[in-house]
Amino acid sequence: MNGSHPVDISILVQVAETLESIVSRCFGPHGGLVLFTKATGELLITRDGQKILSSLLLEQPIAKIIVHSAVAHCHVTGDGTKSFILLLAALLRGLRVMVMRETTRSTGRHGQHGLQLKLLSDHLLAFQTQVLDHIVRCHLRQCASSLFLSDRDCKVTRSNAKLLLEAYFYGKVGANHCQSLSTLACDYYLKCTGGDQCNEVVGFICDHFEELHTKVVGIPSSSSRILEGLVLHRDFTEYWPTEEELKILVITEPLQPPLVDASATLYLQSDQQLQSSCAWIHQRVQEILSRLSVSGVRLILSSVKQTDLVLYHAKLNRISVVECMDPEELSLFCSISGAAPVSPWDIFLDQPTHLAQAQFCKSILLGAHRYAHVGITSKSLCPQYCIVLCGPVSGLTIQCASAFHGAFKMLRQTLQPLESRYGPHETSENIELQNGIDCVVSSINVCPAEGEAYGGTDRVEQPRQCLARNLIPGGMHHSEPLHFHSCHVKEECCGDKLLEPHCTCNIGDATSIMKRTIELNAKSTGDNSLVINAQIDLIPSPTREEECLCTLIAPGSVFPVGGSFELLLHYHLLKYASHCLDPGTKAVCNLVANALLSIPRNIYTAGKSTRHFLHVYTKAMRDIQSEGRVRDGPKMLESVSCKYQLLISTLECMRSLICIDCFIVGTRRVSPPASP
Amino acid sequence: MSRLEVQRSALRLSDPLSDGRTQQQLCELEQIFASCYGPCGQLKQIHNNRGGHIQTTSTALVLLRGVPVSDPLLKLLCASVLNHISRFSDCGLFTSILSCRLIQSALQLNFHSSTIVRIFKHLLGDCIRYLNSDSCACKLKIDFNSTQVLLSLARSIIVSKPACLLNSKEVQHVSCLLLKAFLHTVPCHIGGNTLLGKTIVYSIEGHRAEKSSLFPGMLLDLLDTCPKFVHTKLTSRSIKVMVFSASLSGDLPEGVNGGVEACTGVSPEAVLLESLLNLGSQLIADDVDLLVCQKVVHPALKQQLKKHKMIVVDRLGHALMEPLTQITGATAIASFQTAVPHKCYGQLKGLDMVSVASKRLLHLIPFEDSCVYTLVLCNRNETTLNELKIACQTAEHVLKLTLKDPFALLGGGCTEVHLSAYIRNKVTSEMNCELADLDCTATEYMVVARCFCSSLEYVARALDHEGRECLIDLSHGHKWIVPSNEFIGCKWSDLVTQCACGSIEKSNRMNWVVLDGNYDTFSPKLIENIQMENIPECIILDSFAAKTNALQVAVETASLVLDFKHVVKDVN
Repeated sequence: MNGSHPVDISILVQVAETLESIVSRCFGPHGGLVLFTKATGELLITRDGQKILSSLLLEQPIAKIIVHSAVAHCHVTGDGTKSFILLLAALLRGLRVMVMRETTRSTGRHGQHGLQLKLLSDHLLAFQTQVLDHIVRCHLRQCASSLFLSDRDCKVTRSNAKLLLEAYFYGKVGANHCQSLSTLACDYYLKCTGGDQCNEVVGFICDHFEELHTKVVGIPSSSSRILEGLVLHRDFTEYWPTEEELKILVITEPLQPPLVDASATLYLQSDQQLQSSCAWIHQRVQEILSRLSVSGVRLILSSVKQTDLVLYHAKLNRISVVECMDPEELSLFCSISGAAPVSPWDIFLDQPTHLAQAQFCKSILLGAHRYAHVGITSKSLCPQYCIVLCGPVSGLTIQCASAFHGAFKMLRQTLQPLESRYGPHETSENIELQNGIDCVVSSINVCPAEGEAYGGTDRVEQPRQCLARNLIPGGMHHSEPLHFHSCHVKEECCGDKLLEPHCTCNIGDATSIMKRTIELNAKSTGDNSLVINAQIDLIPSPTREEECLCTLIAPGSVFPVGGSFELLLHYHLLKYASHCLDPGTKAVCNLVANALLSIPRNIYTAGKSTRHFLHVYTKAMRDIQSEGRVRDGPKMLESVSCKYQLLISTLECMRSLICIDCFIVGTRRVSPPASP
Repeated sequence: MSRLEVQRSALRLSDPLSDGRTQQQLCELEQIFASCYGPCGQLKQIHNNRGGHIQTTSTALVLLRGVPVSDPLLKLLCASVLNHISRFSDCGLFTSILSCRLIQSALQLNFHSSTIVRIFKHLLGDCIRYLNSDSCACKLKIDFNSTQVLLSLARSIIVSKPACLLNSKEVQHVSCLLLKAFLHTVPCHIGGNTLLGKTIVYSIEGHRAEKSSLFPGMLLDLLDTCPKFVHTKLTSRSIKVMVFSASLSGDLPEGVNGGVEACTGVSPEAVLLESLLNLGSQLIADDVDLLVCQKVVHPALKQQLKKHKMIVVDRLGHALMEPLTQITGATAIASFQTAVPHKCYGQLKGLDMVSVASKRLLHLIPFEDSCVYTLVLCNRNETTLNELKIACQTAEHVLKLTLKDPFALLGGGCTEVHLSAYIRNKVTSEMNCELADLDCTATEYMVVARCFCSSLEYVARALDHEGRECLIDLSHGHKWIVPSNEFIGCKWSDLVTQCACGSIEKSNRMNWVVLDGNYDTFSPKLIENIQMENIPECIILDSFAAKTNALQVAVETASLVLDFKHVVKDVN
């Protein structure tokens, strides 16, 4: 496989389709599981796209690039690897069709392809920066519902959180364990945060999830539960049960002073020397432990092994000891409780400080192992609870644990506002407005409803309602309509397209108006329903307003599951494409719109489901036209920012792939460039 | 030196269960388990062609560890059963046979696996709810005032391991010993930190099982010739005991990480020996009778102490230290170089040399309220002894589980048959409300439920290895076995006497039907009198906690295996 291999669009499609065939069987609510075996005999069970793809150990370089981008996306959002692959495959397929169509007109050579693809890549970038953000901002944002109770009160309602988590777990662990895990996750979230929007706590849980959960095998998974306090994954070496409040000492060195250090040598010059040294050591240990006992320490947490003498004196002083703790766990304990590791000399010279305070300390039996269970008193916002996940096999518990982790990553992403990367921008149709506005709508889109014929050359001149939205600096909410005007919109219909209607409306004083979006919502009285959408944007002015326009997706925005995001975006993209003038952007919009359908198609045609995809599609298009949102879908929710992020990541991956001309395989290892 | 190798891609297999090889392996595995099940089960000998350990067994624990399985799905199944055994010790074979059977029958149905899995989960929930409810007719409440039920439970477990080769008298004897040991380990006074006591098992090969016995306290093997003065230390007064966890061999103490150099004329060994002998003289002065050390004792110290008629036991090992400290109340001392505090001494009621089977052991007799007992198990040869040890461990664990869940289920297959009848009845009578939740058609629900019930009945029938006919009675839903194969022209009521678990005798108003899945549904009756005192002597019982967990693990494992769409093997 040495030498250089040219990369053609068909190779890209082939690789993407292979990956798609693997991933599509595990996708959606009816997808199946994958079992991995290693040569060591280890078994891993998963439905998680990231694990499936990274365990395949692919050799094809293109496949490796795709998998790498998918996994990187998953690290941020916790979800969406399979959707990534499906979307990418559909995009590449559409791209190939487009490219083939172009080359049938001209003599198709490889160089020609490359140029075309490069141009397309530029168009894609323009699409991302201008069209996508714009559509999301203007259309999708209004249809999204919120996780929170209301705009001002940032408390997450239990029912909404449950719906969001249920949808996530349905895709990650399947219908079997979905209910129990989502209830557990919801309870855990509400217990740790108290329902308030607390991004730091969710972030903390995500970062330290390894230490905050315990896996137990041999018991059915319905016994998973939440425990108060922290479980330290080590058993007591010495155990004295205490029910009252106690102090805990954290230590990372042996308490017994060594007779000889590792790098030193002891020279014995007399018999008494050895004896007196040993006696001195003995006395020191005794003193240290009695001092600890006097200052109320009842538990010592040590990351190293302590000597028998230390354990013996701890036993005499009724102090419990946990040895050989994981350093990560110990640092988590310190950050939650505010303690710090103490050196033995500090204990001896002075009263020990930096002790942790705890409410209880007992031994707990989880599965076949006995662990230490500590209830820490902490003033910080860190979570005071930990989770026990049970399952018949360790592969299943690992799957549940990683799904749980991913759920919290997804929650973290949802609860943060997503910012537009590209800033407010101008569309190509830019018209200056003065006080008395005389706006000329440059292009209109007319979508007759499905099944309804558009009556020929009617001249429609009916009063319309003009909905004007003002954006006053100081952050009024975007969707509050302020003025309703009746104005006359003269439309001339000719064939099946309306030409340039004119709307004259006088909208108050414009001194404080920076940007205006006028939407003409037309409801006809006749059989035809017309939706006229026009966007007129001003040249944006000072930067202060730009910041509040940068938040593309508000924290807590959610959509119903089942592809409603994709269907909505598909509809609006098609509409935009049909009134767009630039052929490149138009082609890209069509491409993305059609590719977006692959996700709902896979959801509805897989498995035994009574909702056929086409039926869903036609109904959804009808709903969007009439009401602007999809009705009657499943009740569960999914996060808008994750979906948006998915689309952006896929487009960027595709852009990087289509710019590759050929790949060169060599036998020598390429060393990374030397750092300066 | 590790070698860098090019990483090879993984192998992928789609729809693993449709592979003929996997199905065949599944079938064989099920055959192995089903043929070992029960008191009449056939033994399996596990050995490998290159020599090595040969094991003869019928227990799931040894079988699963010894039989190598190559298919990944079946490895998963075995891992799941092993995890269950590590938690509950019993019903391992039941779990494995039930999950194999569920997978095989589900594969023959033509429905989507997610539907089957959903319905299985729902039916499992029904079973567990029924078993946990008060009106369950196959559940027996354990009355701790009488030993009968506990004894039957222990006996059922010993009998279910045929490789022990015990006759009925020996079974009775061993079960009584086990029950006594269990009852003794429950402490009389419940304080703040109450722990169950421990039963130490000491095994001796080459004797009949009737020679097994139970001793309070501990038995220690004196590897030296037994000192003659032990008999003089009988129970005139209590024995003073000193326990050391540190090594008394004269090594440098812990904490020497670097090097030690001695100048000429300085001898560290002599220094340390001197402190050992000082310790010895302190012990002698304090009139200590017994010195026990976890590690090695220096021979010079041993000699000094023996001269003064003190018994020295060394190389005890870590496992026996905790029961020893529990019996004597001594604190194990970690250093010999300083004076020993008096509060660390322990007390024993007495010492004795006992002769058990062919061995002479030192018996440490504790005071009356101690919870540590030693069970001496004997059996004819190594194989039967190992099986007996496993059986006793299982019985001990099951008896301990009754402290948390004081129930027992009817054994002999009656619980499975009863559950199956209950589920059939529930499915036909309450179908409409379930369908809406499950998102499936009525046919699917009925067919999958029938498949579930017939798997349960298959497990019950697997107990019988002689091909005898199994019947179900239409009033209580218990399993009945026809003793002989000659039943042409006879009615069922002439051939059967009592049900498989032994709890019901035949009566005139009963009707029987062959247990093959095609009977009319009926609602199984609650047996009123089984909850009261007249429980028959020879009733067969199963552990409640172990069996319910086994049922849940089996159904969950089967659901997991049915759900796989790909298997990926890493060949690196």
